[in-house]
Amino acid sequence: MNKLVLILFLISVVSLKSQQKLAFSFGESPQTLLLNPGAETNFRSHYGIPMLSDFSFDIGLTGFNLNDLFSNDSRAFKTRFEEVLNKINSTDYMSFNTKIDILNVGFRLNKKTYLSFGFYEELDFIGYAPKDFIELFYYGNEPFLNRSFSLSQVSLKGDFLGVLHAGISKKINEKLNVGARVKIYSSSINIESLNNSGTFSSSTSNENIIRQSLNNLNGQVRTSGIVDSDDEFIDSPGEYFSKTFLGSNMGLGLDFGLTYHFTSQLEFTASLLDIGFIRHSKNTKNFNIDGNYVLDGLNFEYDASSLSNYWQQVEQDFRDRVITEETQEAYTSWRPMKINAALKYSFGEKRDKTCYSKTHKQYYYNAIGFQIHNIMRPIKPQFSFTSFYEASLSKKIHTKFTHTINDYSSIIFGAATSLQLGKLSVFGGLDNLLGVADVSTANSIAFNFGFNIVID
Amino acid sequence: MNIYIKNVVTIFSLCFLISCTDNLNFDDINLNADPILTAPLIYFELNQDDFYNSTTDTEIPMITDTSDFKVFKSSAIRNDVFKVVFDFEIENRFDRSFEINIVFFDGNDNITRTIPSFTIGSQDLNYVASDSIEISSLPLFLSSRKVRVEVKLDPSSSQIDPNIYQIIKFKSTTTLHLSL
Repeated sequence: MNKLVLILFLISVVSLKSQQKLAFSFGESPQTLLLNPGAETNFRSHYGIPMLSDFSFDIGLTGFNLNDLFSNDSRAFKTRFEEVLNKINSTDYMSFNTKIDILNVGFRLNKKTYLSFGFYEELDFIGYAPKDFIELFYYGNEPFLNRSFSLSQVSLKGDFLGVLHAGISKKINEKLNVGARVKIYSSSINIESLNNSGTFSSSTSNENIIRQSLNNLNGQVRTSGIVDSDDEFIDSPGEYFSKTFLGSNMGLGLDFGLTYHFTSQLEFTASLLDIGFIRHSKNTKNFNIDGNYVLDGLNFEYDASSLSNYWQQVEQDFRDRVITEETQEAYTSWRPMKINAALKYSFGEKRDKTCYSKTHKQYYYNAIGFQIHNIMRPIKPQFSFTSFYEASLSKKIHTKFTHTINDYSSIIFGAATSLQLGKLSVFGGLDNLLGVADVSTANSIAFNFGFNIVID
Repeated sequence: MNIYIKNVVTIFSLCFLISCTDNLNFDDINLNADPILTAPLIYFELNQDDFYNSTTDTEIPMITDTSDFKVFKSSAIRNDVFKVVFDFEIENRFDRSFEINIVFFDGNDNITRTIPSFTIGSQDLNYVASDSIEISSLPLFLSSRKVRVEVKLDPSSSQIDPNIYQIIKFKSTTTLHLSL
């Protein structure tokens, strides 16, 4: 029975869901190195199972959940949509991130140095709710006289890229371990509309009954990788994937991390990930709009000696004052930098572990702590605070239970496990256990798993 | 494994296995947006000398002006509009009453709609009028491409005096009711 429950648990966790932040500072699995290049490693080498060495999926929605929109009740969909529209605000967002490790290998260079390298593909998207423009489109401007609709609410960023990386983790002394990783980004697709500004308004006026105004309009949409050199949209998935490996738009990034032991029981870990950029110079297609415009209507002059085409005048005046253009200019996009940090206090029964060099390391069976996880996003950082409890069921089976507070919810419970099956190291984790019971009411679901061969 | 851990494991396992979204309904997604768009249309300000021919020293009883009206050139608008409303606000500081006639034409100068004329009495500073067109009753209106506004002074014993500053102020908006 014990084994049955255990197997059930492992299958559930590993094959379903969790979140990468669960893996941070946990279990000494090879994946930890991708989240903290300064993580301690106590194995001689590792070989990730291609495509399965690290897979993570994370989707989140703030402001409403699926149940708000699609609940099976007697209300019309239109009513539910309007309630959701009323509920959300312009800082609500939908984010999506998935990573799949194609290759991940590491080996010990010497007693103090561990090298790792590999290649993974990442799909990342965040889009904020442009509430003003959704309402403008849905209700029109007539119900909102004298209200300004802000273009700054239009903010989104999406990337599909491949990352070739190499990292080093070095033990400085018994207390400190530091690490760094260099990354070469190959962007396949980038779409971003950031830092837009300006307003549209319809207001009462002295000249006419109403006046429409575009004030300080400055907007842009930048894309790369979605059109080919002939300006035709690329519709071949194979071409998108091929560009993730040393494709045409390249970038450079760095990760830094450390592990510091204040005492044998108190450990601090931290990392800065994806401090980097991508230069998009090929297959770019950008759209810009810039200007100011005031429309009072067609000003009839009743000048018989000089007949005017008022409509044409307005159109020309608009074109002169509000400049729209399509360009192929190169641009630079910044990677969403991540900040992780954890403070962990270990306690309880001690255990020994034989490490790669036949030395022994002491561990504790239990630990508590907290960690922060922050992603720099266009409008505001995505911040999570997690408290956790770790328990080792044996020398080879470790579990972690978490409670997270973030934009999505203040009651996100997660669980993760790391275990060693012979040479096979398995990691799996799921965030938002309560949400899994009914996904429709959850604002976020995330999971992460990985299979690696680890040589002690 | 102690009993506590076993219980936790069992609960989590059950959570994953009973994960469901059965209470969602994706069959009933029918979202019709009904935006109402309003925009300024025609405005003008006329002085008394706009109705006076200084060469012949005579009154001009009627003046007209015309413009393109391209709202319905957009097929998106043509397909989705079901009602058009025109609102007018007129301020008459003349000592004369006058009549306004607004006529829409298609590209071949055929009349598509004549808004019932309205008369604004002398010194009426707050005249308002409205005209609503249901497209289902007058689909021909969607072929409108020009608009003419005629301002016609009513006959009177009182003559226009270009030396006195008195104005007529005309304002209007178009409101489109769409069903998307």
